[in-house]
Amino acid sequence: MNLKLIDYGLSSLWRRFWKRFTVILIFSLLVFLLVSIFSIATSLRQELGITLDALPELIVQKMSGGRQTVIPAERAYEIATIPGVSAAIPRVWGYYYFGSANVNFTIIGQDPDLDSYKAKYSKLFELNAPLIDTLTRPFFLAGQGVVDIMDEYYFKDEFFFITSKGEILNLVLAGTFVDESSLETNDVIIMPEILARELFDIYEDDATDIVVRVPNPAEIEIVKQKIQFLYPDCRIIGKDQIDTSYQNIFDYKSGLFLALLIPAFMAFFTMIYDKASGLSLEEKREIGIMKAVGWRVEDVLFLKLLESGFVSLFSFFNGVAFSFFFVYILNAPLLRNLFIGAGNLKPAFQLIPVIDIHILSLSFMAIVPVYILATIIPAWKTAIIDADEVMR
Amino acid sequence: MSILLSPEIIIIFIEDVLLLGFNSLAVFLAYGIQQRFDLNQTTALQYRLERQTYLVSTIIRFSLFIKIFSFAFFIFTLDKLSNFIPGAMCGVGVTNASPYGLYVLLIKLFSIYLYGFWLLIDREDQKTENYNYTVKKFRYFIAIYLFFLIELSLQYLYLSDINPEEIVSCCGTVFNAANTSFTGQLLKIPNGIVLPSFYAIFVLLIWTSLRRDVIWTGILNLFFLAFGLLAMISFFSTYIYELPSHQCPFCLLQSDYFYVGYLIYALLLSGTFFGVAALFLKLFYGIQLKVLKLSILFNLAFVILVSAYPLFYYIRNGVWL
Repeated sequence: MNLKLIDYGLSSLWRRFWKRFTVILIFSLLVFLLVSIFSIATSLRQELGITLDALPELIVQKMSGGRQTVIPAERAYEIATIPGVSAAIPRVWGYYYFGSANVNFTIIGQDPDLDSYKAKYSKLFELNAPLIDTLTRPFFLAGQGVVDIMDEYYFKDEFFFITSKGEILNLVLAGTFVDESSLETNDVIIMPEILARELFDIYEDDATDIVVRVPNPAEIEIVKQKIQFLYPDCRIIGKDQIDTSYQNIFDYKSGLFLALLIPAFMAFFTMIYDKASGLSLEEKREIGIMKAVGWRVEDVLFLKLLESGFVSLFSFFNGVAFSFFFVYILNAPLLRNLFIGAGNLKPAFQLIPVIDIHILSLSFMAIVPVYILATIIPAWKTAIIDADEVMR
Repeated sequence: MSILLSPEIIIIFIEDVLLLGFNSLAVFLAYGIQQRFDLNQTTALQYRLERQTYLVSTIIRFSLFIKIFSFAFFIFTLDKLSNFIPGAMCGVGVTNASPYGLYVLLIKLFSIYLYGFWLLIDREDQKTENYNYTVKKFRYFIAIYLFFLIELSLQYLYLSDINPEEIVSCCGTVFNAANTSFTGQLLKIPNGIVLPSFYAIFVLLIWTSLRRDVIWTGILNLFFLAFGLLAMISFFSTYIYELPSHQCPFCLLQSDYFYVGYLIYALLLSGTFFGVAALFLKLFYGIQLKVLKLSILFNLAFVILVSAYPLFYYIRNGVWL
């Protein structure tokens, strides 16, 4: 390879930098969009991965007429006797709709004296123990997002829940919590189980569902079958099923976005083609002189394609750098709503930085071949210009 | 839900549409060139055709580059799709999710070889002053194009045939000697036969290359490719995974093994490519290529790399698997 040729290519590119400016700008913008979308999706998936790790291996729900209903809590004892199960814990939880702000809180009932299915929740009670006075005042703990919303409606230290029976349940806000993955805890309220039962009108013998811990991954499938055999009316959801459906959703969304970008790629292709075809008189004369001093068609072609190689690399890195800034420093305003919905309570989390070769290769494969192919024909047209044609 | 909307598949389609468009243009020009190209003429037509050869060559050259990248990308995609398809744990399961899978992989590989041969002929052609091989190489390109169309249709059939709800087998079942399938049967050949043959072919290969026997080197390279793959699956892969029961040609492409598979296959494929290319060009075009050295270099690197795994395993643990 001829180093002089590369040097010449770079300098000629530099001389006409402003002429290429629009191309570089649009190219970078497309790369920016692609990398941002893929990064947000990967980052969210990572975040959900953290949530998933804490999740129990199996969740048992009782079904009635295709709908989920409360499950008898005693079934947990039966399930716990299945070999391979380390724990089966009935849960009481649900969603509470707060009409004024049009949001749903996730309410989790947890007995402060018992170990939770999530070690984190038990710890929360310990942390806030000094503030909690179980005997005199009923209380609850809330995630940061919930506290913010309540603040907006002037509920400072207490909140009035309306139970299923229509009665008012006045609880004291005893503490808040944050987490590494705020997606998980932002909308969560934790209260003593007995209060949650009162709120949702769930009798003492019932539970919302039963979570089952199976430490050995190889045994999960068998345990699942055994539970299904024991309770044919139950639906059993595995952790891996949830994982796959998350993956599907994010892949589907970024795929859809990419599909919508295809017309933009076509427009980009046309623009590049047009831009590269229109040579100025000066450029034509330059090619003519090169031809006259002995450049062959191959040489000019190589030079032109070298130029587009430089342009695409430059724009690609430009776009990637800007997109990382946008996603991880500015936290991807607007674009992230595409993935999580613009609900009132869901946002307000920091995206976890993931720099993934996969994202880069996806974006690279999506756009760079489009650009290079679009420049081939114009480059050839330039290269076959005859010396005498332009010098005359 | 179909897998057709995952971003990787969309990108593969974008690439294919672009390649199809440009290759169709190239084949259209190539047809005209091989019909009317006549170096003795001094007409405007001949002048135009000569200039068109540059365009066609450039398009084909870029197609090859894109095809090589998109082949690696395709494998990568298969690996990633294994997350969605129940039962699949690596590319094997995804490949087997449809009867077309294996053929798509083989045809894609073969297609890269064909494009590569074209490029080598093109290089030779540019070295000659009077366009010796121009007509021949464009005729050959028309054949490649037809092949490319088959490849695209097969790939489309394959991707639309995958059903993400259907359970497939993972590599543990497919590459199990107890399996009665073709792949299972192949693995019944004991390592006592496969390994010595593999190394014997390699030694023969070096010998024929040093004697510059293009014909035998080319044929031996084909055998080397087959036995290389077989030995990879049945013997070397177990040492890469350090697990005697894990025989799989795909898992080593995953991050757990530092993507070493891409390097291993790239070496094997490049080595055999140059060896076979020398045979192909000599047989069909009478071109004597000086690429046997390259072939030996890549093959040697492959042999050293895969042999290092069992050796280091033995040195560290003092036993064979």
